[in-house]
Amino acid sequence: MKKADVLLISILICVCLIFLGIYLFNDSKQSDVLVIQQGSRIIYKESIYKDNEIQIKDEHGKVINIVSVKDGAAFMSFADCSNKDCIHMGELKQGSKKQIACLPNKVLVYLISSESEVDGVTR
Amino acid sequence: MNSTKKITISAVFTALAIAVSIAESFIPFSAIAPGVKLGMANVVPLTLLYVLGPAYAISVQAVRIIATGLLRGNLVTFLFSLFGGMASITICSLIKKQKRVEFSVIGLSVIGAIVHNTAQFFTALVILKNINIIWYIAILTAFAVVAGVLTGIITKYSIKALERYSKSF
Repeated sequence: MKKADVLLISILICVCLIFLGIYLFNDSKQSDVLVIQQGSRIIYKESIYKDNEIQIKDEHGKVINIVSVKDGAAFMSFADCSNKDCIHMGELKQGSKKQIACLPNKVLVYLISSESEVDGVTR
Repeated sequence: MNSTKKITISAVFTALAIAVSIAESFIPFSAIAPGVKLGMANVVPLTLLYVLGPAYAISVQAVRIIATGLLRGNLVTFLFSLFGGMASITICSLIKKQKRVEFSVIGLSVIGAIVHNTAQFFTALVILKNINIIWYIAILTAFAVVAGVLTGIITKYSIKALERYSKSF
């Protein structure tokens, strides 16, 4: 390893820490509204405490993803893609900062605060 | 090295890259963090960049992406590997060409991994138009550094092996 390599890796670790800081300091205790976005379009917006099973369909009407909401937790219960990353991404509960994404199907599931007027796209 | 030899090596390495890409997709790295991969297939273009030069490296990368895209995945996953893979090898070629800052194979491999991830992240950003996923760059970058160092070490040995081998015939 050369000097430039060490410098590069140090800079990258700093970048990581900055973005991790953004993640940790983002207050989200109030976020309890589940939003499902397909492409850039919002297709579902309801309280996380409302049990539901949302089918997400492609343009031909085929079900590509199913999001299950049960007892205040939302998770991806079905995906037709090959890698199934989204199913392994776990649950969203009130205050969760993470998102569940199924990129092959352009689906993103996340929480927003019910008090904020702006939604996740415009924020 | 004559051009027949170069083309033969490129062909063998393209086949190897396709096989590695597909083999790697069966390893569930996503259990650690979604979207994370070791990126073993990037050893191939990086090795060729050192042994045969940028033109061969970029062409082999393009053929690998198109072939694996046809074999599996959908249009969106194809676009992800296209933008990630081509950005990665192009930037690596340019950085290797300039002489102002010199990186080792490992440094260049880390750059390749970072560019790969960042290009894919921006593809996701364009598709989803949701800036709130920006924090995920932290996870991707952390894994890219680890994966980049590991594949860099493998690339170092594979360059040595290919150079030794190509002299022997």
